[in-house]
Amino acid sequence: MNDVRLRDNSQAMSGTQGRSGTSSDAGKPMIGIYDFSYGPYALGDALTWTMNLNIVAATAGCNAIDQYLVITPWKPGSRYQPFVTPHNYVSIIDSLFPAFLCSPMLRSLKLFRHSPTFNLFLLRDVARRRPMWPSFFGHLNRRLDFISHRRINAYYKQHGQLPWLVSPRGYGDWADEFRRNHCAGRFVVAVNIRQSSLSLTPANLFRDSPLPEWRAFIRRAGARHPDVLFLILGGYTEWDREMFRLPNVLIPRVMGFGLAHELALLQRADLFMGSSSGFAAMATFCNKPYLISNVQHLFAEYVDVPVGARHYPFGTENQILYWEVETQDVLLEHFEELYDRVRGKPAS
Amino acid sequence: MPQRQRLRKFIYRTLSRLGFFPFTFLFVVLNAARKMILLRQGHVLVRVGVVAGEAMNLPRCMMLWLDRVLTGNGGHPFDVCLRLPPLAADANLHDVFAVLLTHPRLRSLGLYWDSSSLADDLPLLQAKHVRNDPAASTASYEELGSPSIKQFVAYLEADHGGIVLPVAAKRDAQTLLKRQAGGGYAVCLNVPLELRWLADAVVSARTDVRFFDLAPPASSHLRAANCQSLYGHGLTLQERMALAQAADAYVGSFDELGCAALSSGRLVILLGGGTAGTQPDRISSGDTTVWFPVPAEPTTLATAVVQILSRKLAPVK
Repeated sequence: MNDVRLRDNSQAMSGTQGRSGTSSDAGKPMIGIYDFSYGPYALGDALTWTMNLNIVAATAGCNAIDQYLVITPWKPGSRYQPFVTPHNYVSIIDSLFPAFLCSPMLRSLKLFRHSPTFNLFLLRDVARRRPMWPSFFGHLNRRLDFISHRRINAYYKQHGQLPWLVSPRGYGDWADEFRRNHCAGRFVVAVNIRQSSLSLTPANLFRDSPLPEWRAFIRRAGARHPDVLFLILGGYTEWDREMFRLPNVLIPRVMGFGLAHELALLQRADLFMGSSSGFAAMATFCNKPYLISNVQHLFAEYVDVPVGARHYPFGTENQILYWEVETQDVLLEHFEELYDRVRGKPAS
Repeated sequence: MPQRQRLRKFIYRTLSRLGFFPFTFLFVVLNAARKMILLRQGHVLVRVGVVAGEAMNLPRCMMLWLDRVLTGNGGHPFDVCLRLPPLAADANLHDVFAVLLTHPRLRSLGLYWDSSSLADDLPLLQAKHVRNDPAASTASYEELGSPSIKQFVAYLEADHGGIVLPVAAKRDAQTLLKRQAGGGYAVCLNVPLELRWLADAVVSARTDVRFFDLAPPASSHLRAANCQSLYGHGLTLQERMALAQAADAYVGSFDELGCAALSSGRLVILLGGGTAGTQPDRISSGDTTVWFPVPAEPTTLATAVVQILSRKLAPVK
């Protein structure tokens, strides 16, 4: 089982994923529908949806995915996101778009802002009996299980491997070049510290992580392991100004890059550390070694693991869940454990 | 609004709010029928862009292309399909998406990495008479490569009615300039690295103007007090476009920011993009746009740019 995982991981790092599925014009396509009238504008949910779509496609024997993103311009958000209005949805979908480019099977991606056009496509696909997720009736009833890991766990149990996410289409080579130019020879840790209180649309602030603890951890890790480079990911407003002063830190957003670049860098990093949030979902589904902290207990029922479980059912020993609010000691302890293991040294 | 249209709108909105079967099914069927009627009546416009090989400046290509396509379209909504090469590694797809979203009349956008799925979808977007006419069908395709001088000039002279940036981007741009420049002139710089000397010359010649630099900073570059780099501010492409539009003048590349600045109707000085010896040194359009297709000898160019700026942005006494 471990052999399979290692093989998949090496493929993901090779930078060639995301091409094989589209290099040929042939292919049995799967339709994926993300209708924002009932699907949220959220990075983690978009990535979990993409992963679920990969699973459904693999289960149905499909080797290509056509994604339909549907927005009704006069009512662009669901009732759970009333802050999404006709006047700001363009900025919001623009900032989320790269998350929909992460499936290796992606063959086409369509954004519909016109219901009649989308519905004609939908009826055509129904008439052709094309496999789709959510199903036609699921879509008609606005039912989409984009949060849970139910399908993912079941697929893993049956096959012992998963169709992992990859860098956003077109950004993989850029990430390799970034690593060569800015991180040469260093151990790269992608970090995301959830700070919704600093974001443009604050929500669920109790899920935010303690910034001072992370700062202290990065200082201590830098002193003990000078070869380690931390990449701070997340919205420009969401990280702390003091991060600028840390010598072992790079902030891609300050270097003029955006979410697509960050997702690609995360996929090419050696390790991910961060709060349970959108970037953590990317780390989870692109099979990185990770520590995900501050996992919400409520989340346990959706991912089908008991509170306190150290790994997801499909996780390896290098993929750790931490269910409490993190401290600098906890972060350093887990970091050193993962650092040693990923570099192939025995854990001290 | 006519009674029939009002009734149709009421039914449409009511059905779209009843988000469960069988109302949603009825909504889907009615909507699909409406689209088929639109296709039959020919009230649709679809354009297919074929991106061949490496397209380093695809966002700019998109802006020039859409402007051409939409000129004379009569303000109708439109659909865009892009055929992308499967092996493209240009890391600019997000910017392409951002550019397309600035067109409020865009009904749908399709990104295709496979020609068969594009061929499969096109009949659902093309008007019936176009579908049945091979010549018209072929005309909706265009290869997106390096734009020609003619296309650049056409863009200079067009009215650019199509671009609408998000309100938040426009608000933030105006607020930033208000806070930083106050009532003084604000000029947006986006000068390519090889012309850094020009930016330095212009900045030092106009110490009364506040400059906002969107280009990547050169290493070990000492910045003047009246020039602020915004490159590291984490701005999205739409936010940078809003800044280029909100400033009193734009001096920089003929890229997507230059295209956005042109649509603001303010003073725009564009640099580069041409081929040496194939066009005049300077191409003007109206009294607010000057393009130097192939930047000339440093001193001459710097003097010309400062003169144009001074003519439009007279020093405040």
